[in-house]
Amino acid sequence: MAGPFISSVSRSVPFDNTTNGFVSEDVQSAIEELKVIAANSASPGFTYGRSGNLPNSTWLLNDTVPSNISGRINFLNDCFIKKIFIANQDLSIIKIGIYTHDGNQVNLTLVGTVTTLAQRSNFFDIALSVPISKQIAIRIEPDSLNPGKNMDIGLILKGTLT
Amino acid sequence: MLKILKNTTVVDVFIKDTGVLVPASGEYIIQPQDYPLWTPSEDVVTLIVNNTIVVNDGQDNLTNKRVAIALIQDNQIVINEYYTLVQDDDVLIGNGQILYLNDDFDTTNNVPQYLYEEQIIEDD
Repeated sequence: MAGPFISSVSRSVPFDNTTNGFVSEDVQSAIEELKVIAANSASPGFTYGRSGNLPNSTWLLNDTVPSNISGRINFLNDCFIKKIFIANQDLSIIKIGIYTHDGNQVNLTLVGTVTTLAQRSNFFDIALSVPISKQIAIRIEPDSLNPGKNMDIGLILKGTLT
Repeated sequence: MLKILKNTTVVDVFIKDTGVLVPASGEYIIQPQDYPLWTPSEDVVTLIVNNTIVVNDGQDNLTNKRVAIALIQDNQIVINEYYTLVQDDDVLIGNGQILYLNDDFDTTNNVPQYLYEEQIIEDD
C-alpha cells in the first residue's frame, strides 16, 4: 500500500492481545489472524433418532445404524459439543447420555448427560469436550424417569479443522 | 404377527448390535420400522440359540429356534404337510407338519435339503 497517508493505517494501530488469545500486536495483523481463525473454524451438526417406543437404555440410531456400534466421528480439534436439542413425541422427562467410543463400543465413555423437561421440544447449552476421532453416541439413560418415543436429537459441535 | 423378545433370565440382556436392552424377565417388542435393523443381527441369534431370549409371535413362544430366528430375520416359513421334521433332538414340530426355511427348499426332490440329509441319518 503506497503512502504517505493523512489518517492512520491499521498496521500502525496497536492491538491489545492480552484479553483475547490473539498473538497479533497491530490491527492489520489481528484482522489477518482472525481471517485464518474463521477459515479453520467449524461448527457441524449431527443428528440421531429412533422411531417407536424407546425403553430406557436404548441407543439412538444415526442413519439406521445403532450409534453404540458406529457413531458420528468427531473430525475437529479442540472440539466441544455446544448445544443439544431433543424432540420427543410425548411430554416426558427423559435423561439422555452422550458417549464417545472408538467404534463397536470400544472404550465407551460417558461424557455428559442432560435431562429434558416434560415437553416435546427441549434444547440446552452444554460444553462437553470430545477428542478428535472419537465416535459420538447417544442413548436414553438406564435411570431415565420416562422412556422415549419417536425421538430426534441433534448436536452442535464447535472446533477447528487444523 | 408380532416379534416379541422375551428375556428368560433374571438379569438385563443388552443386544449390542441393535442397541436395545431387554429387561430382566421382561420383553421387548420389535417395532415394524426396525425390522431391517434386526435382520442382520448376530447378537440376537446367539441369544436365541443359547436360550437367553425366547421369541414370541404374539400368541406363542416359538420353541423351534430355526423358526424363531427365521421370524426375526424375515425369512419365509413354508409349511409342507407331507413331511415330518426330525431334529437332532428328535423333536417333532408343528403337529407333524414340517416348518422349514424357504432357502433350504430342494426343488428337485421336493424336500428341504437339510431334512433330506437328516433322513439319510435316520435310515442308518
